[in-house]
Amino acid sequence: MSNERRAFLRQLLIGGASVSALAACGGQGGSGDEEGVLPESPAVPPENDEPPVDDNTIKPTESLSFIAVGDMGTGNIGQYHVAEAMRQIIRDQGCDFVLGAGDNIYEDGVTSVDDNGFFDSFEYPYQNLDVPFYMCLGNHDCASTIFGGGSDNRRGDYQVDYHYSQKRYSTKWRMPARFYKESFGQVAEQKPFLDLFVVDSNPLTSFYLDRDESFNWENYGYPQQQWMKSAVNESLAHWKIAMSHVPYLSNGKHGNAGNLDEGMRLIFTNPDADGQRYKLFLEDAFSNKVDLLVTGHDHSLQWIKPVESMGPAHIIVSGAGGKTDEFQDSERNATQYQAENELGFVWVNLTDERMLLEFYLVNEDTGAFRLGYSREETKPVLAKDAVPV
Amino acid sequence: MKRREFLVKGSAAGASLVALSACNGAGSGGAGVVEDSSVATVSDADAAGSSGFEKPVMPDWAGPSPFQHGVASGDPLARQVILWTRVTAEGFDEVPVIVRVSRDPELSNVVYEGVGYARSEADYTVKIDAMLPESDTTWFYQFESLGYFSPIGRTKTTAHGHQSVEHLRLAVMACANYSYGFFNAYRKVAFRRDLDAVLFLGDYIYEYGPGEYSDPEVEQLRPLDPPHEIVTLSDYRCRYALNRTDDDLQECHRQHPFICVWDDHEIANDAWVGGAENHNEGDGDYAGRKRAAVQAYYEWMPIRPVLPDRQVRIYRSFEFGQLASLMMLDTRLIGRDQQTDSPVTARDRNRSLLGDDQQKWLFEQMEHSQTRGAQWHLLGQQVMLAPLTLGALPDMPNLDLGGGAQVNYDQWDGYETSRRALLGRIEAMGLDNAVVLTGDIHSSWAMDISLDPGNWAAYNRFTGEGSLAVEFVTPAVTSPGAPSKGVSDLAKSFLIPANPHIKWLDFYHRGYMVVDITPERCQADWFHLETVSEPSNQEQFAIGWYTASGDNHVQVSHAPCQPKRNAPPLAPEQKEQMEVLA
Repeated sequence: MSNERRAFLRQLLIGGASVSALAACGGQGGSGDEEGVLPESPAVPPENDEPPVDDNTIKPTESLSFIAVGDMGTGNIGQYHVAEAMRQIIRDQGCDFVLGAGDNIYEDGVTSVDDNGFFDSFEYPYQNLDVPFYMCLGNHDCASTIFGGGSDNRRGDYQVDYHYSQKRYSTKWRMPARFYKESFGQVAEQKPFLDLFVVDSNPLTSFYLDRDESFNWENYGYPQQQWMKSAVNESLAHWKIAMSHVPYLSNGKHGNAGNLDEGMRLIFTNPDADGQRYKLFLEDAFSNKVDLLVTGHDHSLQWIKPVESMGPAHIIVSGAGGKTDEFQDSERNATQYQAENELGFVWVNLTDERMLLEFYLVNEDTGAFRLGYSREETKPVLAKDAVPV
Repeated sequence: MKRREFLVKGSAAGASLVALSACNGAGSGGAGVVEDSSVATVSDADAAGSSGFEKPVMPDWAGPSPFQHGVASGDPLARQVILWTRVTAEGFDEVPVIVRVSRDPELSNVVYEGVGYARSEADYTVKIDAMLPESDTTWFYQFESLGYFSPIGRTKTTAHGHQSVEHLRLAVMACANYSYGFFNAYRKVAFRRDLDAVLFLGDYIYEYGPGEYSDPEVEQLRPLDPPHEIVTLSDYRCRYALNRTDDDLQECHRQHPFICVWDDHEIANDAWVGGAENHNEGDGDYAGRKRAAVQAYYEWMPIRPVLPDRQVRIYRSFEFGQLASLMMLDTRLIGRDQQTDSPVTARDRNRSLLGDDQQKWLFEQMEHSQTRGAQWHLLGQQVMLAPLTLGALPDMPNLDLGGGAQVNYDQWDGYETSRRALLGRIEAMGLDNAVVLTGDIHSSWAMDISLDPGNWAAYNRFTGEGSLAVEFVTPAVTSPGAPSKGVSDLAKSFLIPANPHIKWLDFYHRGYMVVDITPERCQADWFHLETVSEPSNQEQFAIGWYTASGDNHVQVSHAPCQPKRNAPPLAPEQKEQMEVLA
């Protein structure tokens, strides 16, 4: 399996595999056929009254909704409560897919495609949800200890394997590669409604150095950066959203990229633990290109206002899907809204020119949930500026 | 009369004359022209000639030759080069200047003819961005104005980015304090026929008044003008004009295209984005001083503005075929935060040496250079990139500690975040063959560049393993280093053991480097002068250090690189000012 993985990765890095799938017809794995494992079509089609897109007629997507939730994979009652709140919101307001912002399986990921972690931290908690989850690797998914030091990146491959596994429990889990692009909807021929760009941030920022040299910056970080940059540049999508686990900006204990984990990182060895190169990666690939940057890692909900270095993008930290934490410095970055010490998630609705964000807070013990904040914004990146170079 | 004669001669010689519309002049920065056009080939000569080169009306002038500050060229591209001169003549607000470019030193094969205007608003300097028909070619040029011909200059276009180039030679110079010595180094460089260009890495002038920073004996013979610290626009202009009256400097400009950047003394000592060590309240507003300094720089230097309405943006890049890319950086004015004395502040993550925009540009250029397959990636810049310590120690970035006791926070040592960003990018890119060329420090150095030179596990001082790039530092034209060779040797005997990445240094000698580049290796040869206290023709080859392609660390060479064979002739000497024959 690991040889196949490596072949897949190599093809991904060299060929820049981009995995596109319409919300209407489910995910299509990038190099699944190479492995002889075609991803099956979803057992239950996502609720969507559009038939698969016909050759001649394009019915433009007018709206998409999704939920962003991160740091959820505890398998504890809190995760179940959040899942139930998500179910009700999906039932009432609709939702085409979920973004899982990493730390999918605490505390130290999975060690095989049959690992119980997939059940305990994903399949059972989200059993009653019937939408695809586009997943991102977090530091705990690539950790060999419960501290989440992120020194075993190879472990993240099992989460990609699970995407292609025919034995998986449901078809919800979507992680076609460690980092990938996914397209949703369509507004014109060759022009998706939304492109999602998912970053694998752990090898770029972990506390511990991974002794596996295939995950160092030269072999992995920079090629990922180049791939991401060109994928974003080539994207014709109307909306562009980037997702990564480690924050670009956050008021929580992990802090801002460039100075991540101040105080904490000093007992660790990786000079990249401050995220300086990671910060430049994100700016290089996404600045002035994406509308929304979704991250997790800090266990709170934050809507950070756009900053010059990232252009007009709004920045969301949604890392309260299973654990809670308090802010370290609630003034560090200017916010529209932020909530600490409570579980929750963010529901987003995109239309042609607007985005509506709703922050839901969930009581860890009782499961009671409420709308914490809601706000509508015009699309951050103007369509005319989004012409690819 | 004169005009008609010129036209006839031009046509007879088979020159192709192209109509030029003279206009523009809004630029505050020395560009008096620049509406010109590329030239037809010889076969089009008749057509082009008949299209009627309209020679501008020359005002009457009975005085001496207006070309008192020589000619210069710079910022060569594959088909373009900046040609510069200045008109010295009283009583005009605007003087037309004609330039002709030829394949031969006799100017018998003119391929370009252009007109510029020397205007009072640009201190009567003229720059013409000549369009030339061939890349990687030596050209000869001459200006004409007010009935006089200028001395004949010589310049060279670069190879196109896709062209293969086997051999490139660049002189690298810096730090020319007029009152600290004679410009012997410029003279020696002027005579090197095989150079492709001269890189000047800053401190082309010094801002000080008499007695503030000079050799008193030399200053007797070379008094400063204006005789006080320069602060205003006319002060800066005056100081450039003074330097350009020097025959050695004029000769160097006449023979070679220059690629220049400023360092601090083109403005004031230890300049940064919002101030300078040598800028006091009595000197007035710093922004105004900076503006004046930048304006005078663009007027007097043969440089092409990247952004005509934002000339403080000097960083830019050049391509020498497939062999090399050159990125010229500004570590002074565009993005530098104020210097610090504190090792803690030096590691502040919010501090920057280049500024975000320039750093982004630099990384894009490095990527472009790597993608286009250039063999060498040269960074021309001012202050030392490699650390300079009294004892190197392992670096511990997560503790914001380490590296050893650094001594000069005006260099990259004071901007640890910027250095890590650059070296981290070179490492991540797997970029081989990055060569950093540095000035500023009035001394000669050859060094490996490692992220952590004080850590034996990260960098091996004996094999160079762990080095990401190399750095060559050029000595000053005249500005002083150590007071004696003995002091220099003493410092060397201490600093080299204390700094594993420093392979060689010399604090004493003035001189210059010749950087010799082939696909196999990039070598810096240091040429040291016997003296700058008096005019002298004596120099010696001090040492050579090279990096073999793919090695990314330096090795010694006790013989200089062999010059190019069959180098084109120098521009002919011209003792007397030539009048245009009526």
